[in-house]
Amino acid sequence: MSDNKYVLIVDDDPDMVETVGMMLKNKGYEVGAAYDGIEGEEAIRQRRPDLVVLDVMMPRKDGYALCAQLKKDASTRDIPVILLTAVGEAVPTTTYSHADGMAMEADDYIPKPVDTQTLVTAMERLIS
Amino acid sequence: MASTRIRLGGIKILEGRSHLTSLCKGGEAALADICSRLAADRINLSLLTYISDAVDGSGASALSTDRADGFSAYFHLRAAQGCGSAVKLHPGVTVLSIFPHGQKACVIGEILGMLTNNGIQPYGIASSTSALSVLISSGDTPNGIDGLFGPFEFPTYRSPYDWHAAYREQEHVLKEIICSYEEQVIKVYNIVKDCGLDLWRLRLPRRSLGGLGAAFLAMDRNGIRLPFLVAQLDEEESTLFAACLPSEHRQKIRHTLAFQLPGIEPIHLDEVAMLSLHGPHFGDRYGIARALVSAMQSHEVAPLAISCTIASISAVVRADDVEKATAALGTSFQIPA
Repeated sequence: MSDNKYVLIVDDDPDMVETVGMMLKNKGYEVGAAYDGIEGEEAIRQRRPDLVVLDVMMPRKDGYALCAQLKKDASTRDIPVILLTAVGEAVPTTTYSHADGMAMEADDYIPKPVDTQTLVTAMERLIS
Repeated sequence: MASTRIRLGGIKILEGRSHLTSLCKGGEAALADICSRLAADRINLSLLTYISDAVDGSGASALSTDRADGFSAYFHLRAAQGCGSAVKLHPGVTVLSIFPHGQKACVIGEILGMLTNNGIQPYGIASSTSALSVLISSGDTPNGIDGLFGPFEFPTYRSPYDWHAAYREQEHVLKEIICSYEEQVIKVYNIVKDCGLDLWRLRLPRRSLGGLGAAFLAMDRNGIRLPFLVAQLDEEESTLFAACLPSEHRQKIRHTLAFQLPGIEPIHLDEVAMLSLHGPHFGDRYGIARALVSAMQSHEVAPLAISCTIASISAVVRADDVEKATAALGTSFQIPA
């Protein structure tokens, strides 16, 4: 189904990367991992992914900054980005919001806790 | 130092922790009481380990909290049933986590070698689905971080100096990422079952930690994976280890341990399974351990060992109890179909 599409997961929660990565590998995707925004940026430079799953709240460079950077650069603008984070109603202590995510021109936005089927459906829609 | 460094993804450091150990005659009932008291007081555990003694029914628990919660946690443990005076508080502890371990035994093998070479005595060790966490004293933290860059390499940090420069600047950002989930039923991303395992328990004097590290390196060379490991100090300052290793390699593991750790008698339990739960910001929230331990207790499943760190909680149960344990977890956690 995936034709070995390469998906990069960028999240500072290593258990999340492991869980989502395992699920995507089982569905035939090739999976790369990065654990903060700067590492994600470096990983994208080294190998262009077919899609990026991007957490928002991360150290060093957050997901919004990386997403904005990707969408501003003509060479990476067309890489689909799914923002994935615990914001809004689920986490009242954060200032991050759904509206902020949409303003970054992400291709989709999935709030945590992630429904894995929702994530896969969104991915398949974006990279088909 | 290894001739070829192992490439890992990253490091997480939690400084300013209090670490508590307790040896409770009450076993899992005492553990349930401890977890319940801490959750009621909204004390978040950055790390929890539990090792049951299948012979006498007692259990050794160890947990880490923010330093500010250390004394409250201490009194909760003292008041828990069957614990009493067998509680020790170690203020000023650091949780040093590296990931992903990929179930490679060489990762902990190299860590134990590094700690031994640097004269660092770990207070405890815990594992999650992706990470290995080691507790060391605040005083040992700089050497511990530097030491990691001997056997391991990290993609964006070429040296400890790079890590310090990048990480220290961002500490305030990390502290702001505080979550406050209040679900009726705790949501998890997934439950992972790992069957066909044996549980090995060892009590090691400090001088033998390097030998265990060498044993894990030898196991790795033989293709033996390590999905679960916890360790904690006991009353006599020895270290109690519990590790899950594949049953199919039982004889090879026995020989390796006997060769690397002469005079140490491991206790071995056949046919166990590991259940791991991972949920959003589990590491930042109180009550996760209570939910797991209470659910198991109410369904009469006795955990043989527990590890809680990063954003996962894992329990080792007898293979015969897997279905019962899964049903139990379904009552306290919302698990995807």
